[in-house]
Amino acid sequence: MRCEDAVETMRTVGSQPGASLRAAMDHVADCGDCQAALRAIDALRGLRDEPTEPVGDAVIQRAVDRALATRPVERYRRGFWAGMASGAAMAAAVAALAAGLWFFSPRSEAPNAVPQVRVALNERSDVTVALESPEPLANAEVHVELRGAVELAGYAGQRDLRWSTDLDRGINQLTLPVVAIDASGGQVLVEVTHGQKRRAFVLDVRAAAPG
Amino acid sequence: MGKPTVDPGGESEQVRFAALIQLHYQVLYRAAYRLTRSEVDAEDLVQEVCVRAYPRLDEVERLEHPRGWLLRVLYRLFVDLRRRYERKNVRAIDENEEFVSGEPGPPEEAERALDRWRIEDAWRHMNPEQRLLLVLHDIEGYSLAEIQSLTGLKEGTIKSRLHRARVRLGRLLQRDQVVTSMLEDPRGS
Repeated sequence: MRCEDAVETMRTVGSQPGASLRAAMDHVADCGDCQAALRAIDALRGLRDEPTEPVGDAVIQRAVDRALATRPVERYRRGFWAGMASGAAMAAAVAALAAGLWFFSPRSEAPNAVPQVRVALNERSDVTVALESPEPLANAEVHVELRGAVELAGYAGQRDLRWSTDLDRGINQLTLPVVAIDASGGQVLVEVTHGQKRRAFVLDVRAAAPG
Repeated sequence: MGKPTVDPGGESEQVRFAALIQLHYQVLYRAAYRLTRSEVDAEDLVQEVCVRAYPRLDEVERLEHPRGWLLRVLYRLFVDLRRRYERKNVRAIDENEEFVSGEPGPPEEAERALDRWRIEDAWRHMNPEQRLLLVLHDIEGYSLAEIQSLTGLKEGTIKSRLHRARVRLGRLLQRDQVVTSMLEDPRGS
């Protein structure tokens, strides 16, 4: 009899046939591991019935407040365009920041290739794109369009988001909390317009099984 | 062309979120406490769950069993944030923890307190994955199939890891018992 089976038989004693129980008892009598396992089960049984003091409203409110204060969508809406010094002409680029969470396929280096990001299925992954502006731009319009099985965390079901923002001189980074809701993945279109200037780029989002 | 603006999340969303958390907090906290054996860490862990849940409020509200989703997030976070809840050299003292006065109490109370101390001490030597399996199976009473869906581990892997976790906890408890006996009677008689 295997150790796991012997312990399970002893644990569920009363629902096991007599022969199985006898075999399990014989096994456990000579097995230090099984004796230790049964000792643990007995101790954990005590914890199962242990009452837990109800938590006060102040503690619950603290948890709510912290969640409201750190809401990621708020962060990216208000402060995503983080300026970095640079004087080059307006150009789009994709920045890889969240190392280890996602990467761009080598195919993205080919001309006209659509950059790819690989994100874990059903988990939020921060994907950052960067836009370089030669001068500060007030009230640039940002348009994010989602295609396929991709969503932004906090905006479930919304395929199209638009808002206005100010751009700093230099590189401005936009971090999007992307969630792949299906293995088929999808695409994220980011378009920034200011007067006659327009810049758009597309990201291919591929879903990978978590872990 | 009209330019729709993004709803930044008004008061109603915050109220809905607060109501959701109010409804499930006690259950989440109890699960977190069973995993961490610390009021401070349990509160911290549930706060992390709230931080993850708020941006996905719409989705969570649409779920038939939001509590199951919240618990799943809690269990995953506990393992993902394992370093935060690993054994600490200095034990965090919970705000409401009572110190042992040193005065002799009723023998059964003293024995219960000692048992609890032994378990909590042993618990801190278990890694988060082991704690999670023990809590899910031996305390919360989840079946192997349910644990499989929660953790993504194969049933055979769960069985063998669960057994190893039990053996480790049992040996730690035995060690503490021996040490306690020696302290009570240094001659070992």
